[in-house]
Amino acid sequence: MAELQLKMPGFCYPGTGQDALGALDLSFPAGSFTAIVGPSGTGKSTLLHLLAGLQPNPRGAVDGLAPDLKQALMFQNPRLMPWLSVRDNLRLVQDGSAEQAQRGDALLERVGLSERAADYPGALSGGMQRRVALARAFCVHPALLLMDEPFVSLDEPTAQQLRQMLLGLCQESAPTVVFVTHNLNEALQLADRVLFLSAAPAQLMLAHAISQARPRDADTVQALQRDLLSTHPQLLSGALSP
Amino acid sequence: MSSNVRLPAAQQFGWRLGSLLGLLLIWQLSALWVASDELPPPAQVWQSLSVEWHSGDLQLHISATLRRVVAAFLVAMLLGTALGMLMGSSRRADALLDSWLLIALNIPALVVIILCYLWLGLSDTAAVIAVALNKIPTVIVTVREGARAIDRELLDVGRAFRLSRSKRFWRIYLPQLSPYLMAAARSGLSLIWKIVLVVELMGRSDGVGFQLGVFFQFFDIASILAYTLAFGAIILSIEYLLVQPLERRANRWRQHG
Repeated sequence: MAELQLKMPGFCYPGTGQDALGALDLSFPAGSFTAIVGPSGTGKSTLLHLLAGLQPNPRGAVDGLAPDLKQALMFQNPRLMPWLSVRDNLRLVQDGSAEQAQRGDALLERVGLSERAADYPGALSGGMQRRVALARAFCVHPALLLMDEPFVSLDEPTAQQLRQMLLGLCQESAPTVVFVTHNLNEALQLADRVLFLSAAPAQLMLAHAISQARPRDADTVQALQRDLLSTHPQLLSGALSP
Repeated sequence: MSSNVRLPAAQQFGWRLGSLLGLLLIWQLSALWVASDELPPPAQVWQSLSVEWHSGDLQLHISATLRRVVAAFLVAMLLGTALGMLMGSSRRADALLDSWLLIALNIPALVVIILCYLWLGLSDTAAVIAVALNKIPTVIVTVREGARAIDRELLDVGRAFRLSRSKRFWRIYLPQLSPYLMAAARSGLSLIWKIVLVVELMGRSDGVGFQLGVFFQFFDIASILAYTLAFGAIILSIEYLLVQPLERRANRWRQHG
């Protein structure tokens, strides 16, 4: 498990001169599941890339990114290596130990793809590829799991199935999860805390803790949403505007 | 039948064999028709080949040439790949080196060979360098194209999972570059062995090129064809037995996509 702290006066892409993210001071407790919600183009993905260390920021620091931290990232598209079989895609990110190899095989079984382990990703459907990406994210036993709208543009039943898998896996290995989405229902269903960002340059509008146990059914999520919007109607014109 | 459907292996082999036999037949008939020393029939060339083989000359010269081909090939591929990757991934390096590349691509092979011999002396080193220098620019062009086509998003996966630099290079970068490396290697082999012969003709005292020069002076066309056939057969075997299987292996995933 990893605790993560991000503190910065802002962030702008080199050469643009315009801040993509405003001043942010965020902490992610070990084992927490934080969803980040904000209007599109507000820099949610950028924030995730900063947390992942993919994007350096000379003006800010991320504490908790120890060099040996086991980290995984699930992207908007699955980004599997097309020249590697499903199994080898998992092996690629692993450390080569027998323990991890076993874990990889067990995860493929878990997401229902052990029979397709020898296939190339190109032979799989979009939903199957996401399942492989999910297995890949967990096969390194991550302490920090970053997810960038991982279930976007899937049909709802498939997305729902993947969310259930994600929750199950998180319950077992309890990584610190940062989950970026523009789908409020998804955030309320999965997270124990939702951070709402304003339009660019993004600033924190609201940190909303959710205590209800998971999994949460559709009615619970609906109720959570009603409560949230009645107490914080400003979100509709801010973080939840399209 | 559409042209991108592969023939079954046996049929393909049959067609290839048939076409080679056809070529042999045309040669034989032409030789009969011309009936002169200027076009010896296949049997006579075969006899020259056998004489050269039994004297041990054929093996000596072919191994000398092969040694130079391999050395020049390795040098050209290594340097060309390194420079191509650099120019394909850095705009600055590309801007800096692009005009040099253009010049290098257009210098005649002969000029490079003569200059190498003049500057470095009539040595094997000069010969190998001259051949490699001729090939490096075309390797650069191909590999640069490959480096430009690298999918950064896939490289980011390696960084997001905190894979080591070397693992990212060998397991994510190079596999994306490999079709271009294969293309450079294939065209490289055929270009290099042609240039090696010229280099040998001009400044070495062994090798197929040298030997062809000797036969030229004696007007020994049968032996010229014998050496050409022998060395051509070796290059074709490398192509069929080594390069193509490697290429198929590297491209296996595309057929299943």
